[in-house]
Amino acid sequence: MEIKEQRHGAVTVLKPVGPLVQADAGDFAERVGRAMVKSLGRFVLDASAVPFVDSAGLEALLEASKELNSNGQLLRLCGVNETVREVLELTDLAARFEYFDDVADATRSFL
Amino acid sequence: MENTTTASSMRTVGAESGEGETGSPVGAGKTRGGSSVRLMAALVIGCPLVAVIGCLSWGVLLKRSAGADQQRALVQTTATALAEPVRSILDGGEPARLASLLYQVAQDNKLDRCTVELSDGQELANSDRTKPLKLPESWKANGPAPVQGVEGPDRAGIIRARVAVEVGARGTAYVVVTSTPRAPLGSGRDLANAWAGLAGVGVVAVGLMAFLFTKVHKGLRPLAAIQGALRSMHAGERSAAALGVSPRWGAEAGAWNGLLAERESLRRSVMEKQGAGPADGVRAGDSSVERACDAMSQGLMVVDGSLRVRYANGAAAVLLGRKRAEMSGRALSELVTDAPALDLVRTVLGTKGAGVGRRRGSVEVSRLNEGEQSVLRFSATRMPPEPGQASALVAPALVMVEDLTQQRVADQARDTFVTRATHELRTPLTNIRLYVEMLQEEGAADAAVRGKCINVINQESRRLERMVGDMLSVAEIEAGSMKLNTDDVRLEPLMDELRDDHMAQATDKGLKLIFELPPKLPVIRGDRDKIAMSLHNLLGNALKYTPAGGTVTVKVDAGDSGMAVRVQDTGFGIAPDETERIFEKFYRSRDKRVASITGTGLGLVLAREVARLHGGDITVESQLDRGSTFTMTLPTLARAA
Repeated sequence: MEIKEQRHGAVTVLKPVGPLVQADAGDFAERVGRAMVKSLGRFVLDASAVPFVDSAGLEALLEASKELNSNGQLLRLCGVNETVREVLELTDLAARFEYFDDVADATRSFL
Repeated sequence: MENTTTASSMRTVGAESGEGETGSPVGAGKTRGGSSVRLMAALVIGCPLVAVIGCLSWGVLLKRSAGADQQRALVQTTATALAEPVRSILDGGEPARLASLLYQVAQDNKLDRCTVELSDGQELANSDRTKPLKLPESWKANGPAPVQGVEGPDRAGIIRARVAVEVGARGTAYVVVTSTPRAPLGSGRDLANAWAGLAGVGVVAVGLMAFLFTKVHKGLRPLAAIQGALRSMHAGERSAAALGVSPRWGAEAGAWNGLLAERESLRRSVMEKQGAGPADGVRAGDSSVERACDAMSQGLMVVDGSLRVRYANGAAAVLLGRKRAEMSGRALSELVTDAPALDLVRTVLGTKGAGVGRRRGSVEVSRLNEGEQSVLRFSATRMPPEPGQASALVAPALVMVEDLTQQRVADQARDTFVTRATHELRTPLTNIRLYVEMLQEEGAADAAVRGKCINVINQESRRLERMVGDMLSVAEIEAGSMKLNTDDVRLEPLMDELRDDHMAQATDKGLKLIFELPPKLPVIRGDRDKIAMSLHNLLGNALKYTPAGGTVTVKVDAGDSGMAVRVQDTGFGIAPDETERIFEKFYRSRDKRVASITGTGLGLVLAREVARLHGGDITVESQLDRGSTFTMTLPTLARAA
């Protein structure tokens, strides 16, 4: 899985391309953690190119949001498709994230 | 840590109790418990012992008393029996016979002594045969008559019987028989044996008692210690160190100490939990206020008079790049290294300079975190002093941390846009003004000049119109209110218009503009003006960023489901890391060659937005210094309404 890193103003946007599954989960969580610390929390995860996630992917998402959650903050997700959204809701994890339609929308939330 | 404490405390109490010291209040408690147990043990063992000894003594005394009664009777009888022979001997005046009679009677009856006395106590004869045998002529009574009858036994155990004897003309004499009582067993040896036996029984009993006492005392010791501890606890003692007992005292002591240790560890864990939170007792996620503070995107800290962080919300931890757990209780200077921010807090707290400083203030600091520049605004406000707090000087300060980075970046982008837009707008306006002036001065005379001027004014005003249109469209995108006026769009006239508009510009710049169109172009559904604007933007960019001598090709591939318009140039090309960013608003390439060319950074944003609104997209393939190809795809029957 390729993870594209973009900057939108002062906001770091990570865009994983492809399904978030077992093989990529570890790398993904680590990238997200690093980006989060580096940007002082100005961070958005663009999930528009993630067709689905498996349990390892969910775990990686949780892992990535853990640090923020422990500070009472939420990880900003954008472009989450119906499948992924449904998985998050079924596993009762939906409340751990904040959702935006697209990157611009998410980026604006830092203003 | 805990085990050590308990162990040491046990040692202490054990020593105290063992030696029965009363040095400390706790020790006193222990000793009190110990002595009561000792008393109990002594009573349990001592009472039967005392009863046994008492019974034995009582028996001996009873026996002795029976012996005394017998002896009294003997003494009385002997004295009475002696009276008659003594009178006849005294009458006859033969004292020698008297002495031997007395001796004989004393020997026969195992009496101590038999005497014949006068009323004044003078002895006439005795069984010891030590008295003179000469009788006085008369012995008138010269004192009170002695008491007759049996006396005793007295303290020395002596029994004495006195019987009066009237001796004719001489007067009254007394026969006195004296004896010490004897046990009916008879001999003194029996009595000694009895006493020795009694003593033996006593010694064995005392030994047994001592042994039993030691055993019972040892058994009851832990209970006594625990009892003492419970009393201390009742009296208000709570320290596990003071309440522990020596573990040497067996399982009960171990269990008691275990209970205390458990209680202590619970107490500690509760204290630690409370201690982990800020001083005012609010813990992470504890209350709804706390959760509300955590939901804030601004960092919030309460800093006390000694510049220590008493509370920090989650956002503060994120913004300062710390873990939340390490925030509370830390010195502010460890968390915030920016001098202006620290100075601000000090000033607000009144710890900097003399007296109470400003009540509030804010400062912006720029900090570098792992190569990323961030702008943080620290606002500090002095909080009202806590109720009961003596001085306003030590009232804590509320410090708010806001991340302004994105805001600053956006401000900067807007500023850049305004500058560029002004420049862009001014260029056609200047041109229009110049050509209008030329028209006024020379137009009336020269038809060629007039034609040229009008042509330029026309071009420039259209350019201006496009630009204003772009800006309005961007505003619409920003507001999310961009709508499509969908209709059938015939591509042929659209392409003609595109060619007409740009051919002159391409020729002027020395570029080759080629249109490769299929023989029949499809009709699509969409917003004609917006599609035209998008294509204008793509083609305009290609012409703008291709140096003289280059070629710009417009190709249209029409399929069943849609069509693709490719605008290919041989221009500067785009660096790989910028191929996505060029679709950002106001973004302009860092390429120096681009910087010298005017542009708003809006064209591609609009073009892509329009394509996407139609259900298509715009993609780019580019190689630096080789050229770029922008592809706009549009579905034949656009689904967009």
